[in-house]
Amino acid sequence: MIKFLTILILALGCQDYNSNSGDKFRYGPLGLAPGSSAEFTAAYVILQIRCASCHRHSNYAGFKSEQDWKDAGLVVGGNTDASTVINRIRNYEGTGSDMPDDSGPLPDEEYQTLKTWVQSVTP
Amino acid sequence: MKYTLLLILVLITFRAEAYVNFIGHSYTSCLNCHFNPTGGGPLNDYGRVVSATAISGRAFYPKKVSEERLAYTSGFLFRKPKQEWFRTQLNYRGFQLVRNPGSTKNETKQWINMQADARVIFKYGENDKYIAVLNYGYAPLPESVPSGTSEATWRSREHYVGYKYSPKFGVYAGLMDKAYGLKVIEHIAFARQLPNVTQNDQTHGVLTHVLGETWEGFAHVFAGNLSQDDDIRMKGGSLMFEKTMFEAHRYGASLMKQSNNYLDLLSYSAHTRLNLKEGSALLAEIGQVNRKTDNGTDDRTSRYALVQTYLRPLRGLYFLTNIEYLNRDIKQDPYTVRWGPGVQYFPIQRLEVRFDMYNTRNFAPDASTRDSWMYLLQTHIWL
Repeated sequence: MIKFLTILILALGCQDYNSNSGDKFRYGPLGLAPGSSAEFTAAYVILQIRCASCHRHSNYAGFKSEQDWKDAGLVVGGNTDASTVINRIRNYEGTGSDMPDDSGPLPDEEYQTLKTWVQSVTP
Repeated sequence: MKYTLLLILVLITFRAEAYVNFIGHSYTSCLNCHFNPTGGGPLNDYGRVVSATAISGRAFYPKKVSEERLAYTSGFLFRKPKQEWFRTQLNYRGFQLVRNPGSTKNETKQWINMQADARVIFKYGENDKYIAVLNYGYAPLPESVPSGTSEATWRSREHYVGYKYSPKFGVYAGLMDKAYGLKVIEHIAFARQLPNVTQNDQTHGVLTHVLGETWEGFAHVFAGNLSQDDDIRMKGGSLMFEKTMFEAHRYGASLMKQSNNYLDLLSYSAHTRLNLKEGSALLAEIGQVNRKTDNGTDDRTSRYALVQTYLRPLRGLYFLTNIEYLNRDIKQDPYTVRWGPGVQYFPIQRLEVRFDMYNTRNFAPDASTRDSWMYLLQTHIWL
């Protein structure tokens, strides 16, 4: 009984998780770093919709600057082939497990937007 | 004697529902077997008898064990309740999830404890006129949630009070599932995910239920899950209506509007539950969800469809087929199809074992299609 009550008290201090738990990060103000380029802003929106909604454990939603993406090893400035955010999207190592894996292939227009951004990032 | 009468009622009238597909047993309204008129959650006494005698198989029982005996032992821990005002239930559901089976590179296996609930029901009056339901238990967090999160894994699944003014009209207030569409148990179904009505999307609100001779209506006004911060609580309301036509087939429609500070969802759907007799059923739902986001990053209209068949070759056993369609943004071409067979078996009362296989394919004009597989081996026990 004491164990049950302890769990209950701990639980009452938490929030219940549901489909809307991440809405603030996904759909709230973008809050990008000052001076963010137009290419990054366009790419960021796609990354939030297509990637951050699942990759919450990697805190993609918190990467508000180009430097954050570089520091996480996901972007190599100017090099799309070496950038994970690009090479995971199309024909990843021939495994057929391209991202995003829950909502269909990334439309070509969005894929090109991401490539344009990575090419614009300084190495 | 009481259970004998209940059993006779079951065998003669045979109308109630636990899973949506039990329309195949001519059960149209969920309220016959559940305390919650939208279905799911604790079974009432009648529902437990139905579960023990009509749904579960009896291949593992000696022939001398009568149906009456099965009904008599359908109570909590196989006992007959000693009073009328209090019921308890324990419920566990877990499964082995295997992704990319057979792939030397990508196969993953994982056991997931999906549900472990303790349920308490207080009831009073004829036909359970007054009820109070508490359903507390374990709910796993998705892999996508960051470790160290403050979100709870032990939580109240449901807590509500209900008052039936008459057998045809009831009002319920508290934390409940939203009344919307087919409440299939596959919470990964597009039909449940897009409108935000998955296994964790219960909301505090007031539900009104009206039961006619050949129809059923629900009106649900809700304020979101009050355990969450106010800015992310989905507030709104839903309407659902079902009509019985052509003997025991149900046709229905749902409308739901909900929003928080960042997201606005308008969902609408039509569905049907067709009784194919002898326990077999066909379920179908088609719907759309319009979403508008505060920062404009994900404004779109999505379309989904769901078709499920349940074929019952013998008592306790169901062969399933699940087909789903998703167009994430109807202004764009890519769409996803998920389909697969399954087997659901209730070998004895209180036990369900289930196998589901899913194949998912994505179709788009400008990218190669992909083909992914996964299967679930599920165990469901209730006491």
